[in-house]
Amino acid sequence: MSVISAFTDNNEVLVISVKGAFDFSMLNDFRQAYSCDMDKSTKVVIDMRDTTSINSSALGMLLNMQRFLEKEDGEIAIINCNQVVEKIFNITHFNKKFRIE
Amino acid sequence: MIKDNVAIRNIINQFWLACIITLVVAVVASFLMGDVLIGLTIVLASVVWGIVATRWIKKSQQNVKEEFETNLHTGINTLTVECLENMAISSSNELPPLVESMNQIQAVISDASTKLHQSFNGLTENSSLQSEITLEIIEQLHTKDENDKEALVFDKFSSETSNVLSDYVDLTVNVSDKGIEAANKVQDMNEQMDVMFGLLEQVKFIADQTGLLALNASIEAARAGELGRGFAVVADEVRSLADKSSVLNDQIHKNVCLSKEMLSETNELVSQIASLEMNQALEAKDNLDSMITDLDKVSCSVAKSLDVSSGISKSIQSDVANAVMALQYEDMVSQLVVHVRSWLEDLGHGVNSVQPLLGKSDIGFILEKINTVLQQQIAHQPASRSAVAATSVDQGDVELF
Repeated sequence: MSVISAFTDNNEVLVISVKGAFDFSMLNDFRQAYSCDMDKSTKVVIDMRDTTSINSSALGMLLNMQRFLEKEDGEIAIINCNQVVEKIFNITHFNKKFRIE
Repeated sequence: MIKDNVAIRNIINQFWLACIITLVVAVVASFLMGDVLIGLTIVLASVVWGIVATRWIKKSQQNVKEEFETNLHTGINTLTVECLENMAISSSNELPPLVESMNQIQAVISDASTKLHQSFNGLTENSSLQSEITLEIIEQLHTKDENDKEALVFDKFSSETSNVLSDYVDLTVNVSDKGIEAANKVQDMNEQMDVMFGLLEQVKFIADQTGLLALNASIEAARAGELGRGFAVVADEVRSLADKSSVLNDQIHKNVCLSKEMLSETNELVSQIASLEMNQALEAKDNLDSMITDLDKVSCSVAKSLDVSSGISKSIQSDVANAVMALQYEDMVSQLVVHVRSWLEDLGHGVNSVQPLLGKSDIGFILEKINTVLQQQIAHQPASRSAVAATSVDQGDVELF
């Protein structure tokens, strides 16, 4: 499985890790990961340590996730991006919608 | 002359010595001879002879002296006249060419000065033209930005390009967003299809069971004989309905399968729409950034160059102004030349007025005449000594024209 999700901190944080290329083939797995049963108060973190690359479908997936979970801008965190991924987030102004760390 | 005087005195002294000796000898002789009168007469004679001789010598010396001086005067006169003649000839030979040289100097300088003036005018004009052109270039590089402020054309261009890139990126993200949404819906539809298959399975099962039941009913109806004949008909109908149901079920199944296929194709299309590589955008952004940096550098260096160019223009104009001022030398030299020429001409006139007298008048008259001419000349040119005493254009009192 290229998408791994796990709850931490007494189920207060959901960490979703994407391994490999974050593209259209991850569509169903990613959707399953964030569609699971959780509280409205649970924080969501996307861990991109093992993400090699992203294309625009990944951006679409992240936006749909935010809409589905009804989270405000800056609530969802994306961590451990590599340089290229960070650059993409910058030119697409995703740093306004998500907390890029 | 002095030597002669000494020699003459010596002779005179010797004479008187001789006289005294003679006197002594005479006295002695008179004593010896016993005749004082002869002795005294001899003494007297020798004294008189001495006085006369002395006077005669002096006179002859004086004559010699006078003769000598007269010869000298005549010799000097002749030499003087000869000298003056030669001076006159020499002046007549050399003055005209000198005057001519002065004229030539004036002509050459005037010509050179005119040419230099023209060159400098041309230089100034061209320098002005260059400045104008430079300003025009600056004009063309500038335009008004959205706040109606002066900005470089490049800046406007790069900021507009930046906007275009930004819009493109937003569009890409938007398309992907909607695309993924559509893909999710397709996925939902797929799940619904699977549910439908499940339902169809159930319907099939029911149809099959219904058929079996109808078969059993037929068998029971046959066992019941005549009484079961009506029931048997119903059972047959039910069996045929069950069969039709099965057939319809199969058709529905086929259609659902078809729909699923179409969904799968749609999914494929949507995946293509939603999956745009971001590389182009990244590259474009990088290129844009470096282009802006380069343009900034160009902008700076252009500004610097324009400053330098403007400074050079000013410096050229100041150099030209100095050169034009220095051309005033022409005026100064002209004045100097005029003075020299007039002096030479005066000299020539002086020589001409004296020359005819040479050889015809005596030296005293000639010298007086020369003196008069020279005095006249001196009286004519009291200012010549102080005229144009300036030796450089800075000192000279000249105006710019």
